[in-house]
Amino acid sequence: LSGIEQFISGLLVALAPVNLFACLLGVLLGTLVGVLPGLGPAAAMSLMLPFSVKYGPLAGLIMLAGVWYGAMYGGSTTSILVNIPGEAASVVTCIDGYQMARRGRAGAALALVALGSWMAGTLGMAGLQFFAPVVGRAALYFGPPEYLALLVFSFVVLSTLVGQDQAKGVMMLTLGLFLGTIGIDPISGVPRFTFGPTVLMDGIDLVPVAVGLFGISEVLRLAGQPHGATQAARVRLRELYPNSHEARRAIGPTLRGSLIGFLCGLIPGPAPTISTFMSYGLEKRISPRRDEFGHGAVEGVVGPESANNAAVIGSLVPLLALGIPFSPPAAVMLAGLRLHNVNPGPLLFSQAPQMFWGFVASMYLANTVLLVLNLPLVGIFARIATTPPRILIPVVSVLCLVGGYSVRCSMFDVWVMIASGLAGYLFDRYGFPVAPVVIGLVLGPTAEANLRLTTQLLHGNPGEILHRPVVLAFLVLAVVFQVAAGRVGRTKKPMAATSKVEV
Amino acid sequence: MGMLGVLVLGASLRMGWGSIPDEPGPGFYPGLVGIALLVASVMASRRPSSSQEKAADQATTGFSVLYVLAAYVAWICLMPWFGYVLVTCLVSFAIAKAVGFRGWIGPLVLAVGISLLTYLLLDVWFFVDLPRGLLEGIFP
Repeated sequence: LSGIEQFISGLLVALAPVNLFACLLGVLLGTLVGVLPGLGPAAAMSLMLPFSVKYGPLAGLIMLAGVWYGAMYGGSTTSILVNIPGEAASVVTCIDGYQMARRGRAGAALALVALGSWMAGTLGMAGLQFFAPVVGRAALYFGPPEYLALLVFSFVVLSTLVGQDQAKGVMMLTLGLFLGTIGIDPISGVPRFTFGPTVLMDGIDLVPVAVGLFGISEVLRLAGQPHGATQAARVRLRELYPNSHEARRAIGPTLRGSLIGFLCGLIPGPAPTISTFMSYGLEKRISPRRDEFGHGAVEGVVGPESANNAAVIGSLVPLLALGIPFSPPAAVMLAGLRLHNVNPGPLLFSQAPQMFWGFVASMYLANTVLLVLNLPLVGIFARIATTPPRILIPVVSVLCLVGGYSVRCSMFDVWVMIASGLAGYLFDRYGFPVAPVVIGLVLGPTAEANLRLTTQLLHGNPGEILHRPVVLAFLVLAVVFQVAAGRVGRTKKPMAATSKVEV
Repeated sequence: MGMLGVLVLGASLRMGWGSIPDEPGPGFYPGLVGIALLVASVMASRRPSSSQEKAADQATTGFSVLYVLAAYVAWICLMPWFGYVLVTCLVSFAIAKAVGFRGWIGPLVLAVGISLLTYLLLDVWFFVDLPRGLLEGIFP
């Protein structure tokens, strides 16, 4: 089948009622998650895992992607209307978005962001359609040493980009890798770190850890803060029309933001957040109206928001083509796919083309649904954003508790979740990033399997690596990145401000 | 965290590293992880950190955090006897009061609503087997 035929067949699959329902539910929940300053996309996606089981792998994947993608849309609403970023990737939008709202241009800002995000999503999907199969085909030539080198590169980049201190990032990553070793060793059958009881033999499940680190810790943080009332700016439907001057100014930033976001998504790390800073920096640098930045510049709102939406799509390329998640939400998606016995990777495109193309088509639908949903319902979402913590905390607590329990109907998982939540709360207070723990937990078993296979393939001769150019390339890139990061480390304060990124 | 690294390394040696590099044993990879954990901990502890200042600056009410945590633990411990609906109702009510929800009607409506809604969603719709406890006869 040609690309167009495959896409049309995917569209037919996506239009199946169950997939349409999953799409609608996912984007709606994602928008709510983005709007509420409590749960992040990773925790919300973790909570959706048990729900996704009922509807099969494709509907589950569509729902999870919808939550992630919807959260990027929802985050902008609160940033613009109430100056509260619903999630880390919307922090930059607050700078000029809220200023536009104060000048009475909230409606225009929301409309431009929605249109820009839609455009970025559409362009990103076109990129995913093109790049994912290409990367997948290239990855067919990867052996265990190449995968191991790619993982090493990913670990170096992740520990560098997440958090203020690389040593803390490495520490959190290795903590995740350690958690991934708990359970029975798949090759020798030796129990590792199980301390006797059988409950740990299957290892530590990702869902309770993710919900604990991202959901429970956020609840504890909210519970420990003094709460104040927040007023949202009211926006009427007729106010949602940007004037022609604003619309013209938004075109360039949308296209640049889409490109920056998509490229950021291809590398390991908190891509949506980083892409917003990069986009904002670029727009400010090249704009003839530099003085307007910080006081309500259209470019400062549209560029970053387009970038974070495109970054989500970009992140799907390594996930679907290589089976390697570069961010916590992608890790949760991988967990969801494994829950359905679907293994993303180079063979996905040949062995389950309906899955890939159905997913691509559904993302186009989700993108359009979000546009339709976000503009007329913006007033409702803004009011939801001001839900007081006294209501939010009990509701999110119950969702976390029951979500942690429901994956395996295990109270042990709830204990793990609470312990992870307390650990996440304390880690956050002392400046330790929690995202690498989740990545380490998910990628740990893959890293170990590839390490063992690599040592066997090399027959005790590490020099054989020199005959593998891809391995060399990844290792050199890792060293280069590490050196470069060391040089600019002292000047990355803006990024450090969002050390609790990508949740 | 450095101590954890040492413990992981010690345990990995007991598991056996195998014949490196031909045939690594079950302790080889955890051993590498333990070493990495130890090295990262040493590096992190040697750097000046502003996080302690951040922690000190945060105006937090530790009591609420402990109260919420205690409610979570109660949710687990009471579940076998009281069942999902009753325990969730009690715990969410307690959390609502702990974080400053004034009055009795509001928190009660919230607690009953969230426990019944999640029960219907998960148990009835998604077939997750939630414990019934005391209300076995009412919630079949």
